[in-house]
Amino acid sequence: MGNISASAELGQASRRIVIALVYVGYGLVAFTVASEKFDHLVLPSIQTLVIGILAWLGVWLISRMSRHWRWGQAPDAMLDEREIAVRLRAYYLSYVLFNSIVFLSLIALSFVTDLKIMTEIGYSQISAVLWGVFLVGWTLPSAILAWIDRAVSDE
Amino acid sequence: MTDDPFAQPLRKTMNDPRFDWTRRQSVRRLLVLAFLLLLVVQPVAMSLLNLFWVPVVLLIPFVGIMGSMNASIRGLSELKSGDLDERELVTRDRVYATLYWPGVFAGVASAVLMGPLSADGHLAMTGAGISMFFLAMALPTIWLAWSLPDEPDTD
Repeated sequence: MGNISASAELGQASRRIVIALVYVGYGLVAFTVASEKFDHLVLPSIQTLVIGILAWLGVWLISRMSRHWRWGQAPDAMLDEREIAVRLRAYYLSYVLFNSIVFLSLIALSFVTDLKIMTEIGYSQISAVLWGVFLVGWTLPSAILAWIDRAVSDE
Repeated sequence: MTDDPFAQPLRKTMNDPRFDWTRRQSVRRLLVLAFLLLLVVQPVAMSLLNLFWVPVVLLIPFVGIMGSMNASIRGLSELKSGDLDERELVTRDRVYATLYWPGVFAGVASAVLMGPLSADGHLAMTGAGISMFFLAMALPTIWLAWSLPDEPDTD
């Protein structure tokens, strides 16, 4: 498979579990921060720090799936024709998925505002969104590759 | 065979000869400019007229121009993957990959404009947010409509 080595690879099911844990876990933490539940207990700057560390942890966990991470980020010259075609498809799916998430988030935001779950948008709420964009935007193509790729060891 | 281009499979509609007038590069570029103009008009009109229903009225030209742009590129960014041949798939996926980060930023900008920055009822911000979202969704279509060369049998 091109120049991307397949050393110490997780199976497809394990990769999917890691990806689901990263995204769903971050989403739950970000939602908790955004709901202002901890604003009276924890300083917004500390919440921002925690959410930033969690976002980096998510990137780190997904980057541990080294073959798919490098497949998602490597220059074309390092890949063969099939790998490039699959990666292009992953970027297509990422584009559609990311903007669908934005659309659904806007609908969710209107409910969250109407139901007074979140009464004001502060420092920690905005940082949760920005770190989330960093995490999802950067990792999504590699995560999709890791999700859809059926490695030889899985067959 | 039906005379109504909208009562047939999308693949046929997107290749219907009745939309050949949209397929010359000069016409495609005019459609792109008209679409971009509408993106600018929307927040300006919402702000000047102070009316929230401006996007509803503008939806009619938006849908008309977007549909024409889609037909002008034979549905390359609109049709399902199964309806495209191998060459079309690679062209489509490559454009989405190229525009991944601009699309992500446009999507996030739309969320920020429609969320936090519209919280005080600034209609210009809401309009700009809706325009940014339309831009994020249409960016690959705009790119293809602008950049694809004329088809060989075009006059």
